[in-house]
Amino acid sequence: MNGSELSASLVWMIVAIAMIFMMQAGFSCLEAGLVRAKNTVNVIMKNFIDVALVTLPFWAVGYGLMWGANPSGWLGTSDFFVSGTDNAYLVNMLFQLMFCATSSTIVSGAIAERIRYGAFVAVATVISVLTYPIFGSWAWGGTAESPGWLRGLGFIDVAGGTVVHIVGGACALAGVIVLGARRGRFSSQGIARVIPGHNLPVFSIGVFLLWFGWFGFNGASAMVDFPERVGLALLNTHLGACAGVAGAMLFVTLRGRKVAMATAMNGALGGLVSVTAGCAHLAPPLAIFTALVAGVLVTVATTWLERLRLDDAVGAVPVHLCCGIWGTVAVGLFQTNQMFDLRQIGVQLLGAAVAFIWAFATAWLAFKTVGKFMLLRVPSISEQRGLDISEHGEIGYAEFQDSLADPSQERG
Amino acid sequence: MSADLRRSSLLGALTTLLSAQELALAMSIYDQEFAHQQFFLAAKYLERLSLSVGLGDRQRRVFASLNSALAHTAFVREPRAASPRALEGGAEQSVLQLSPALVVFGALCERVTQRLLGIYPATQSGWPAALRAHIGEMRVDDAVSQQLRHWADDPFDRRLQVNLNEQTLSELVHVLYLWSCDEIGPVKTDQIFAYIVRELEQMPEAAQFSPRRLM
Repeated sequence: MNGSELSASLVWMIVAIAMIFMMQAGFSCLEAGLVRAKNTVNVIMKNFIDVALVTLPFWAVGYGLMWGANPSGWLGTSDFFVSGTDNAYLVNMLFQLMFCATSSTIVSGAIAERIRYGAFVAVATVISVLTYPIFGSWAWGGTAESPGWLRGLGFIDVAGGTVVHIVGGACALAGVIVLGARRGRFSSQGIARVIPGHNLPVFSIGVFLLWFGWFGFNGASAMVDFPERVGLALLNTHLGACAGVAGAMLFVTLRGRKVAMATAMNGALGGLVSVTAGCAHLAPPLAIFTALVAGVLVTVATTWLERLRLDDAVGAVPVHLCCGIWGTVAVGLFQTNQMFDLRQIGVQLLGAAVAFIWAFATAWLAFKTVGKFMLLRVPSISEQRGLDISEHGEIGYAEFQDSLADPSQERG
Repeated sequence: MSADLRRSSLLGALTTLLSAQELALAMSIYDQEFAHQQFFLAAKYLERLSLSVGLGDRQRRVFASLNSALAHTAFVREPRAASPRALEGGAEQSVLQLSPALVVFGALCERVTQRLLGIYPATQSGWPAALRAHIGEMRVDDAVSQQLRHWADDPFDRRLQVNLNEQTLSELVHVLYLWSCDEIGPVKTDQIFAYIVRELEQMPEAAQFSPRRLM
């Protein structure tokens, strides 16, 4: 190594990259567990392709749009097709690449069980090349002297509560609306029918992996700008998950209902999302309060979506969009030594609103445009047979799955 | 299918498998407990029969024979009435030559509709309209479309020409699937179809044409 040593912070960043990478496995397990067995391979392949393929265009173009020189404050104009040997630069680039994969993978769960695989790849590419990095350039991009326009207003998003989760959640909402509900999800009278996941243990493993990865997500992000508050960020991350669980369970219990595992675990995820934006700026009691509210918000928003006949297969919109918005605003409300700062609240609201509008509009356009060139939604016969067979020609559980269709009919 | 026709189908199915005494008891059970039912479920009849007649290892053969007989009978024109829905331009036939595919298809449709309409009677009100709407969207020629609409009007009195190919039969099964999804949801639909497909795999015709090919 020619006598050079990696700094402790760089080592921590590298470890965090690996932890955030494992979040893809977490999303895969979470989504796979919550869909029907006949669609398991398909949801896993969507998550797999996020990290395997979608990050390539981000490396080529998206990173530059997000982190390149940004004299206008609206768009990066350099650092395309990244190369070089600078450790800190390349590690940071890889770190940002993992964030991009997380944002686009949020979409995959919401629209599970009915989107064409090729169409999803196309839309995810648009999200990773345009939607995510351009908003990222506004909120995080540029330099201290020439920041992105939102950053220049003093917008705070430590670890991506807005940039990753609101953007991902808004894109997911656009997909849910454009694609429509799974067949039979709602009766003709609008009554929502439960489509239970086929493997709740796998779903729980996914949640544990996400919780684990979130320490890298928030901890490494804090290291970049607030290294003296890494411990606070990590503590708030864990407290946020716990409080999210508590909020969800309390709310459901007070309403006289049993606590389902998905309720508790989505509460944890909502809590994690809610503290992400302000993980280095919230005192622990206020982080707990923020996450407690988020846990309630997840359960309430899930019901709202159903009343609107919007079919979110895994609860991505309540967790990421709703809790992301709340968490972004909570920074303005509860920031240490600056609580209830009206200007900051206004900037946070502005950032959340811009993130939602930008992400929703671009994703909606992406879905509609892709739909003009290729089939966006699978035919109903594919929903019947399962996307594992129709999109990939295989079954997830060959020994145990009683597939209705004859797999030999699907192989070309 | 009329009750008389169904009764004669059962009699034909059970004659070779039960003794004279057992057969008399079986038909008595049918007359007293099942003849008046609009929707006849072979599985329920078999379950009731098993309580009175020790079927032992004959149970599987009895079940397969019942399913096969009921499926064949669905395509037999009843001798007493001229149907207002006679096949267009076709000579009337007493019994159509049935391919294994058509036998399996007929059994599957009958089982599905029996189970759905029997367990969820509220779905009956929407039955023909829902099917007609789906059939209207299918890409088949006008003659076939008209026959399919006749079929949709009465799920238990199907008279289809034998020249429907596998693709069309699959589409019809898919129509049933969609209707079921809309009425009772996709989870229960998958459970019912999976159960019935496993049931039908016991039919002799399933060895030549698996019901899974229609799914």
